[in-house]
Amino acid sequence: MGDSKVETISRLAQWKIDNFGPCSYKKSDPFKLGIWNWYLSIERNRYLYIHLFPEPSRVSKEQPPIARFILRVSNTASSSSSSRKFYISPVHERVLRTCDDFVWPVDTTFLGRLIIDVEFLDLKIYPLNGGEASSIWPSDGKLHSVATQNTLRCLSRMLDEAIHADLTIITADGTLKAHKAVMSATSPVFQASYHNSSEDKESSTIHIEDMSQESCTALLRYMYGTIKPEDFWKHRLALLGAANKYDIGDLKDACEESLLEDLNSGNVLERLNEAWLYQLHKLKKGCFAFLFDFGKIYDVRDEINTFFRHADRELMLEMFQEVLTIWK
Amino acid sequence: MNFRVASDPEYFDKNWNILKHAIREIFKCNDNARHLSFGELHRHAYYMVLHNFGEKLYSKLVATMTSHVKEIAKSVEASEGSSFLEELNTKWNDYYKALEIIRDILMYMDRTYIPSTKNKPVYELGLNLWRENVIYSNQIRNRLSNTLLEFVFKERAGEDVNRELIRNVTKMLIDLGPSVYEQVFETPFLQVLAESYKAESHKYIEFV
Repeated sequence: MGDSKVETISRLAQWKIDNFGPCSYKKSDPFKLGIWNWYLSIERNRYLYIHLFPEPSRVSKEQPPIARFILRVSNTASSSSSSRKFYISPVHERVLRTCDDFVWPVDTTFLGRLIIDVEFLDLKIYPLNGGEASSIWPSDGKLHSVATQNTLRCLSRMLDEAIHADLTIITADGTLKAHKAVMSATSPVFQASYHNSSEDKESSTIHIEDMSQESCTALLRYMYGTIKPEDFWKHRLALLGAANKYDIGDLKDACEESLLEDLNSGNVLERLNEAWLYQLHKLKKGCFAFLFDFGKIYDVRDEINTFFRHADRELMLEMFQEVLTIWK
Repeated sequence: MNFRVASDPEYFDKNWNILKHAIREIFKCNDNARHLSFGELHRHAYYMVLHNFGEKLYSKLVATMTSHVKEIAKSVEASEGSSFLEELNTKWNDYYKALEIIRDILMYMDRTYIPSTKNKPVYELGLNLWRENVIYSNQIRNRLSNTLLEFVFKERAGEDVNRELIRNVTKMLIDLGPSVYEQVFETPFLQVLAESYKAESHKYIEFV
């Protein structure tokens, strides 16, 4: 009975058959490799036919393996170990569903001990929702994501525990510790700021007094890659100002997108003003559409008077032109 | 609702005075400029541009820089004999350093105000002002050409000259644009060179 067990290590499966005996068919026990259970079977006729197939199951039906593999058969005649023979298959690559999908005939009659090796070079599957086949084994992408997570964890610790922090930030209502290197890498303004300061005590302090400590913490968390969505949401107006001031383009874009997501009659005029101040084209168009295309300007009749008294002339001109275009 | 429009009529003048003072100190390249906080100056410049004073800020900047460059030109013009090149080189090095700092302080103006106008960004503006007021000054242009040629021929004659100085000054001309280098140095140099070879070849012909 021991003859039907297949041992596996890494991507190699090995079936040792000490004695084939008089029978003409033999099937191995299932062995697990990748996400499938596999079988090997041998049929002895004029040739020796070797089959390789996955166990019929839901997995092998929905996501049959696209296998790239090599087979090797070696035979040690029981009389002497010197008469060892090898048969190595070419590299096969095919979809394996049933036992008929792959058969390798070996033109020989074996006597004595038989070892069949299957070395899987790759196992791919198509994603269930369509798309390119991809390997089931960890590839560079996986390693990359592991490395990224690790980096984020390190950065988060650097900020929270102020590891080797070389900078004190003075905000409107408190101080924070951070790293010149990280801030320089995210913002050209900070880079220039440290570049132009002399190497003394003064350069290790910066003033961001136009931000609260809480907002500035959110800004730092963005720079260190560990900002939480709820903090972003809460501080996005302050973050928008900082992104504009310190030239952090992708943060500015993210804030603009976010401000577009919850336009309403209560905030549209303020948002329009922000859009104008920070030259946010998409947000401006969004506010125009909300006010004019959707007619919400009638909901803000009282506020619009105050708005017109203070707003920039050029902005009013644009609004006027927008109205004219709609009337056409 | 906060419209963030600076309604204080003196807003611009107050902030510009801080910046103007700082720019002067930076141009002096002395230790007084050290105590100035880059962050603070950047913030002043940022809010001025944000509050729509970009144009005003730019024209004030041009005026301040022009008057400074003119002062430099005067002091270079006044330099005596052999110290002329050294004076020019020292002034250029200080000016260039200061220009980089000023460009960084006014980064936001360069980024948002300048692209919507025909105006030159700060760095380019600085180089142009230097070229027009210093290099192309009537009392400097020919003197510079001649001094450079003099140095080059002295060196060819085996005399000991300050090569570092020549290198720095010619590099300045290249930084100011290929045409500047060509006009002030290359063309006159080739001309003089051609004449001197001509004279030399005549000598040989007569000798034969």
